[in-house]
Amino acid sequence: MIRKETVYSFAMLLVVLGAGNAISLGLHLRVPGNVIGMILLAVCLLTRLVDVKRVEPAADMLLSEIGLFFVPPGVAVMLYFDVIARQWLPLVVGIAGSLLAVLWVTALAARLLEKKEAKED
Amino acid sequence: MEPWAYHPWFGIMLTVGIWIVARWIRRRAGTPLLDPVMVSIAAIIGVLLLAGIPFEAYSRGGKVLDFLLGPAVVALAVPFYRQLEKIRRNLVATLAGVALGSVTGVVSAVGLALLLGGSGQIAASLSPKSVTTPIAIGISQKVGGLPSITAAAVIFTGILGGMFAPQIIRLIGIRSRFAIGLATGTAAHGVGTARALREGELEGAMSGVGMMLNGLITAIILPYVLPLFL
Repeated sequence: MIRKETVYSFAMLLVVLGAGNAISLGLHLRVPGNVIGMILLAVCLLTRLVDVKRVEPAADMLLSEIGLFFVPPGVAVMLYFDVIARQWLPLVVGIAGSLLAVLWVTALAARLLEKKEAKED
Repeated sequence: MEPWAYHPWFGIMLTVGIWIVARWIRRRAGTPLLDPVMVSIAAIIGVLLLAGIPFEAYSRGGKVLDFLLGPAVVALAVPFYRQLEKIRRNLVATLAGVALGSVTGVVSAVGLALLLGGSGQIAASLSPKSVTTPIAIGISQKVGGLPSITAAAVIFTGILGGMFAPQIIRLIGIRSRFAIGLATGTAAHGVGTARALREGELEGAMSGVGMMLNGLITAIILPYVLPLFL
C-alpha cells in the first residue's frame, strides 16, 4: 500500500536530487548530481532543516531494493564484450587484484584506527 | 526487429520480473555466488542474446529504472544520518581508510594492467574502477582512458565486490562491521553498497560513506597520481 508519507518523502528526495544535479551542472563539477544530492540531504538532516522522519518512508523503500537499479547499467556490459575479449588478462586480473588490495588496505586501516566498542563483534 | 521489444515496458517488466526471481533464489540458496544483481544481469543478457534483441531496445525500459538510481543514492544520506555517532567517533579511521584505499585502488589497478601487457590506455581506463560510474567516466576522460572500458571495469568491480567483498575481508580475520562496510563501499561503489545494506545498517551506512569519499578523493588525486606510471 502506498501511503501519503511515502509519496511526500519521495518528492523530497527528487527535489534534493534536482538541486544536486543543478549544482553539478552549474559548477561544472565532475562529481555527479546524485552524490552531491546525498551530501545535501545529509547536511539538511544534520542541521535539522529536514526531519529524518520526513524522508524515511521512501528512502527505506528505495534502499531495500537499490540493487535492482544497478541491473540495467550492468546489462550494458554486453556492449563491451569485444573490448573485454581482446584485453581480458590485464582487465580481469587488474580488476580482481585491485579489488582485493583496496578491500584489505581499507579494512585494515579502518580496523586499526577504529575506537573499540565496549562490546562489539 | 521485434517492435514490442522497443517499448519501455519490455525492459521494465523483464528487469523487475527477473529481479524478483533472483531475490527469491538468493533467499533459498544462501551462497554469495548467487548475488541477485549478478544473477539478474547474467539472465537478462542471456535472454537478449537468445532472443536476438539489441541492447538499445532493452535500454528504453532500463533508463526508467536508471532514473530511480538517483533518488536511491540521495537516500543513502538516511543510514549515514542514523549512524552519525559511530562515524563521528571514528572520523580519523574513516578518512584514513578511504584515502589509503583510494591510492591503493589506482596504483594496484594501473600497476597490474601494465605488468600484464595492457596498454597505457587500458591502464588509464582501469584506474578509476572502484568509483561510482558517473564519476569514473568523468575521471577516465580526463586522464586519457576509454570511457566504454571504464564503464565495463566499474561494472565488473561492482559485481565482484557485491558477491565477495565481506567474505574477502573476513579472510584476513577482520570482523568489525564498521571496517567491512567502509571497505566494501570504497572498493566496490554502489553495487558493493547494495550488498553492504543487506549485511546490516551500519555496514550500509559506512559503505555509502566510503563510496562518496572515494569518489571525491579519486577525482582529486588521480590526475596527479596517474602520470607517475604512464
